Amino acid sequence: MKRPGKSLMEMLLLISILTVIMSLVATTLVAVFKTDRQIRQDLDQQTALARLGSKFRADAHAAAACQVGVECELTLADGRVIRYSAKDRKITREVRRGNSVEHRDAFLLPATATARFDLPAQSQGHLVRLSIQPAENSDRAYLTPVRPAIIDAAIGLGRRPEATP
Amino acid sequence: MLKIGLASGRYRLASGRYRLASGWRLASGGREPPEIRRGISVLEMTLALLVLTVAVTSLAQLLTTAAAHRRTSEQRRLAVQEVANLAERIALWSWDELTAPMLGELAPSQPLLAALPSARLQTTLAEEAGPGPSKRVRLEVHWTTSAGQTVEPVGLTVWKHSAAKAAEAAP
Repeated sequence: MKRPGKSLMEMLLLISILTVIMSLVATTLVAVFKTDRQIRQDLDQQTALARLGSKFRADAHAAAACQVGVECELTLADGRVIRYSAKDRKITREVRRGNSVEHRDAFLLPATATARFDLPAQSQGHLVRLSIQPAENSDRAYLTPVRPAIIDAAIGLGRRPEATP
Repeated sequence: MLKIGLASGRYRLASGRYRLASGWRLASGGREPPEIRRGISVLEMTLALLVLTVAVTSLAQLLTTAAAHRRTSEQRRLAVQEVANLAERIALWSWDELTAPMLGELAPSQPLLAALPSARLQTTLAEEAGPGPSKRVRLEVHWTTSAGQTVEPVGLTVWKHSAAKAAEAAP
């Protein structure tokens, strides 16, 4: 006697094929979404770094003096002070005249990035350096990967008669 | 001739042939039934799998290309950063300090070498005449991929003008 309907073998084969197909589709979709997210994050970082580098160099070139600690303070000839500080996932640029803030910019960094300012020894104080690096021993390494960056800027370049970049 | 009417929706998977089942009924005096195929043949299944395989392979290639582009983009960003930082250092040099031997002492930074071990720096210096004499400095970072393929170098050109010499040259 022939029994109507699908046999167990047919069902098993069908389910196996569907499983393989679904696995392939799921894996591909996950990879596509991951790539899309990484590309967007890279673009955000690169845009922020380009803006930051441009501003930081222009400010350092125009500066008459520079003080570096946890923050970087650039004093312009007209008395304005430009302060760069890094905290809470961003670098803030603040232009002050006396006690009043004239302007403020923020440059977003990845969550695990650390930024610091220093004066490279070999530059004899004529160069200020901003370094952005991934935090060491971060327990959140799974977050957006940090693109390390080093931005050197010549201090007072625009005020030197013989130095025109 | 017998007319076969479909009373149940039962069919055999992947064969296209009808199965006589308890739900079938037969009627006399009709013609051969039109062959209505149900189910999926092996050929159709194979074609579908082939199309799927092509689609998945294309997507995998796309992802590989995207990853390669990300790597290349990051390498070029680091190279651009390197030449921009060197340009800042060179801008601090005086007119007399800016010479070919001094440029020859420049070397790729450690962060760049960590990311691009094959990176090397090439500098050229040329003097340009004119009412305001200037020196043209070309900075280039060359490197090769892990497969040994030479990549198009990243370069930056900067000029140094001598205000003092320009004043001397002025009538």
